[in-house]
Amino acid sequence: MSALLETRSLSKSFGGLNVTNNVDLAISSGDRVALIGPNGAGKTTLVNLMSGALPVSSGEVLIGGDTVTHMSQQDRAHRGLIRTFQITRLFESMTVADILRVAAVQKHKAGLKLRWGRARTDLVERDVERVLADIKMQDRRDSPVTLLAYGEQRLVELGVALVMQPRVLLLDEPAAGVPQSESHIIMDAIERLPSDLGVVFIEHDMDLVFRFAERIVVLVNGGVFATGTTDEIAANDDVRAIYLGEADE
Amino acid sequence: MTNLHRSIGAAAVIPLAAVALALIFPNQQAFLAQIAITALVVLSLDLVVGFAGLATLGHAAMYGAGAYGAALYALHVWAEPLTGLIVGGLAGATIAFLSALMLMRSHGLTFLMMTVAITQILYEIVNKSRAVTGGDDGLYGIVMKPLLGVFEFDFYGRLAFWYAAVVLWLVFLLLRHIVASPFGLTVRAVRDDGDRVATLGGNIFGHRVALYTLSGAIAGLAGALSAQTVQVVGLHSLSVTFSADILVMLVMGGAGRLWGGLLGALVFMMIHHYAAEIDPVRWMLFVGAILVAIVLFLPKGLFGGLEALVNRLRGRAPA
Amino acid sequence: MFSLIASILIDGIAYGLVLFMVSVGLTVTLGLMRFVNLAHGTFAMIGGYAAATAITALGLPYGLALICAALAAGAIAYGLEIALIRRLYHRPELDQVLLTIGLVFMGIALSGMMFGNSLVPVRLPEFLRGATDLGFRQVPTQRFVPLVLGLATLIGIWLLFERTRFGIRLRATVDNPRAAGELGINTRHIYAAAFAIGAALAGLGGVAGAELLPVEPYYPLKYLVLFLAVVAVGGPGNMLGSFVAALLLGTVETAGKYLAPDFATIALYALMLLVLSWRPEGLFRRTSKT
Repeated sequence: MSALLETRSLSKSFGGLNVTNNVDLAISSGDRVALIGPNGAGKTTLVNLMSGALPVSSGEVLIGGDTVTHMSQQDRAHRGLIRTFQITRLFESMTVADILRVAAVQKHKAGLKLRWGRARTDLVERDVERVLADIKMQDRRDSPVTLLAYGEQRLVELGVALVMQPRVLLLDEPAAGVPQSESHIIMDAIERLPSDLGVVFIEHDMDLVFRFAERIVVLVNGGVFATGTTDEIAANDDVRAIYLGEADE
Repeated sequence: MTNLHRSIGAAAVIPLAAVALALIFPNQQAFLAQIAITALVVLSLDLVVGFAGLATLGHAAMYGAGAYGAALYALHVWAEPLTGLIVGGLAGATIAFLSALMLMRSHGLTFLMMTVAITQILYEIVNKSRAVTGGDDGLYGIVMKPLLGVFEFDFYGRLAFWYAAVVLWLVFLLLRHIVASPFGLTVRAVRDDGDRVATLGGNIFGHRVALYTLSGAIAGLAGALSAQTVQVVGLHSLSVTFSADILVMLVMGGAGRLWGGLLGALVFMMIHHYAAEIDPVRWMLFVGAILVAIVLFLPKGLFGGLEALVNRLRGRAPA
Repeated sequence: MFSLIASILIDGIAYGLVLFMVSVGLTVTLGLMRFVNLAHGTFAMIGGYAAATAITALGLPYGLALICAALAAGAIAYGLEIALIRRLYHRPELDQVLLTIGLVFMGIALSGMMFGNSLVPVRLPEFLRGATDLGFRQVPTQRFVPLVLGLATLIGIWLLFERTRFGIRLRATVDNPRAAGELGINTRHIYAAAFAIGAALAGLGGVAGAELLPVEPYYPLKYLVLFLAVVAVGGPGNMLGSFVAALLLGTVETAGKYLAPDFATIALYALMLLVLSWRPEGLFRRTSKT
C-alpha cells in the first residue's frame, strides 16, 4: 500500500539559500511523526511545501500515491491533506460555530451554493456538532472567537482541521503560545485524534514530542539529519549534540 | 421574538419606510426615487467593500454600464421598463465579470488602483464614442413605455419612486438570503483570511468573481433605474467621483451590514439635498470631516453606533 | 522623426521626474510604513500654494520659495501624523483609505476657501522664463527645473537612506518595529519624520511641476491616481522602482499626448492595468528577508 503522504527529494531554495534540501518522508495511516530541529531548520517551510502554500523548487509531493506537486492548496485539501498554522488563523469576525461551519461548507463543496436546504444543513451541522464534542467546546459555540482565551483559540484551530476529516494532518506547533496552565486541553485533544489519521507535528517542547510521537524526524539546515523511533533519537549522540543540547539552554 | 417574527419584521421595514417618506415628502417623490436608487447601488457596493473586504473606487463602472445599457436599449430597441431593467443588470454583470477576471487575484492598493483604471478607461471610451453615447452631453430624451403596460411614468416621479422602492425591497430581501447562505458565509471567511479558506479546499478566486458579478448586476439594476426614471444618462454615472460618493455613504451608514448601506444612502442624500444648495465648497469640507470623524469615533458607522446604543438601553452587552 | 522622439523624451522625462518627486514619499508611506495615504497629493498642492504665496505676497526669490514649499508641506504633514495618522497605523486598510479621502475632501474645500477655485501660477524668476534653444526645438527653460530637482531628490534620498543614521533607523523600524524599539530607537518619532520628509519632497514636486500639473484646489483628487499608479507600478516601498515607474508612465502619457491626444489617458490607464494584472506587486517588488 502506498503511503498517505510522501515527499521525494523535496527541495526549496529562496535566492541562493537552500531552505529545504532533498527531503524524503513517508507518512502512513496511524503515524505520529514529530518534526523537530533548531530554529531556521526549515520545519514550517517543509509543511508549506507539503500543503501547497509554497511552490517547490524540485522534487515531488504525493498524496495516496498520486503526484500533487503542482496542485493548489485547495485540491490537496480535498484529497485529505489538512494543515494548521503556528499563529492562529481563524475568521476573526465569527463565532466558534460559524468558523467550523465555514470549514464544513468547504468540505461539502458548497461554498458557491445560495441555499442551505435541509440535507446540506444536516451534513454541515453534524460535522460542527461532532467537532464541538471532540474539542469539548459545546458551551462556547456562540462565542465570538476573539473573546476566547488563546488556548481555546488553538483548540478551534485544531477543530477547523478536524471538521475536514483529513487523512493526513500537519500540525504546526499546536501548543505554541499557550500558557502552561491551558496546554493540557490541547494535549488531550491531540491524544483523542482518530487512530487511523496520519499526523505530522512540529514541536519544540521535548516532553510533548516524547509523549505523542512514535517516530521523530530531525531537520537541520533544511535536510533530514536523523530519523528514527523516539528511543533511537533520544539515544543518538549527534542529535543530542546538535539539537537536544541546545534545547536545554 | 422568534427568528421568523424578526425576519418578517425586518422585511417590512423598507415598505413601511417608503410609505412614511412618501407621506412626509409628498412633493419630493422624484428626489425620493433618487434616494432609493442610490441606496440600491450602495447596497451592491456593500457586497464588495463590507462582505468581501475590498476597497474599491471603481463601482461606477457597473452602475454606469447599467445606466448606458438601459438608456441605449430604451432609445434604440424597446422602451419597455422591465426588460430594460434586465438589460441594465446584465450590462453591469458583464462588466463586473470581465473586470473580476483581472481584478480578483489582487487586493489592497493594487485592487483599488485597478478598479480606478478600469473605470477611467470605460469613462474615456464612452466619452470618445460620441456617436453612440453622446460624449459629454450624455444621452437624453429617454421616454419609457408604461410599467407593466399599465402605469404611466408621471412628471412628479410618483411612479418612479414606487418602482425604485419595490426593486430595492426585492433586492434587499434577496441579499439578506444570500448573505446568510453557504456562499455568504464563505465570502465573509474569505474576507477575514482568504488563504485559510484555500487550505480548507475553498476556491477564493471563484468566490470573489461570483460575488463581484452579483454586485455588478445589482449596480447595473440601479443604473438602469436611474436612466429610466431621470431620463438622462451622463458621464458622471461612470466617474471615480461618483464611486467615491457612494463609498462615503456606505461607510457613513456602516459597511458589512445591509442596513448600514440603506441608512447611509438615506442620511447622505438628505443632508446633501439641503446642504449642497447652500455652498458646495462647505459641503465638501463637511463630508471630509464626517469621514474623518467616523473612522476615528464610529468605525461601524451610524448603524453600528445606533445598534450599540439600543443594546445599551436594553441593558445588553454590546454585540 | 528624431525631433519628435527627442521632444517626447524631454517632456516625458521632465514630467516623470515631477511624478517621482511627488510620489517618492508615498512609496515610503505605503510600502514601508504600510499606511495607505490617498491624501499625499495634498502635500504637493500645499507646496504649490506656499511657493506662490511666498513669491507673490512676500516677494521672496524662487529658491527661498522652494524651501518655503518644502517646509510648509513637511510641517503640516508632521502635525497631521501626530494628530491623526499615527492612530491609524494598525487599523485596516479600508479605514486608512476612508480617513485620507476625508482629508482630501477637507483639503480641497479649505484651499478653495483660502485661494479661490482658479489656477494659481507660481511666478518664475527672470532666468527661468523664456525658452532654451536645443537646436532642433525650443524648450521652455522652466522644464529644466524638474530635471535638476528630480535628480537631486533621487541622490538625496539615496544618501539619506543609505548613508545616515536616520536611514538606518528607519529601515530597522520598518523591518521590525519591536526590535527597533528595544534597541532604543524612538519609532514613533522616526515614522513622523519619514512622513514629513516625504511630504516635503512632494511639496517641492508641487512647485517644480506647477507648469505640468497646475496648482488648484482639486489637485489632490485629480492627480491622485497618477501618484498611486507610480507607486503601484514601481512596487510599493521600492524607491528606485518608483523612479523607473515615474519615468515610464510620464513618457507613455507624454507620447500619447503627442501621437494620439484623444487616447493618452486610455493608454496610461491601460498600461497601468496591464502591469498590475501581470505583476500585482508592481514591476519591482521589494524583496524582504524571510
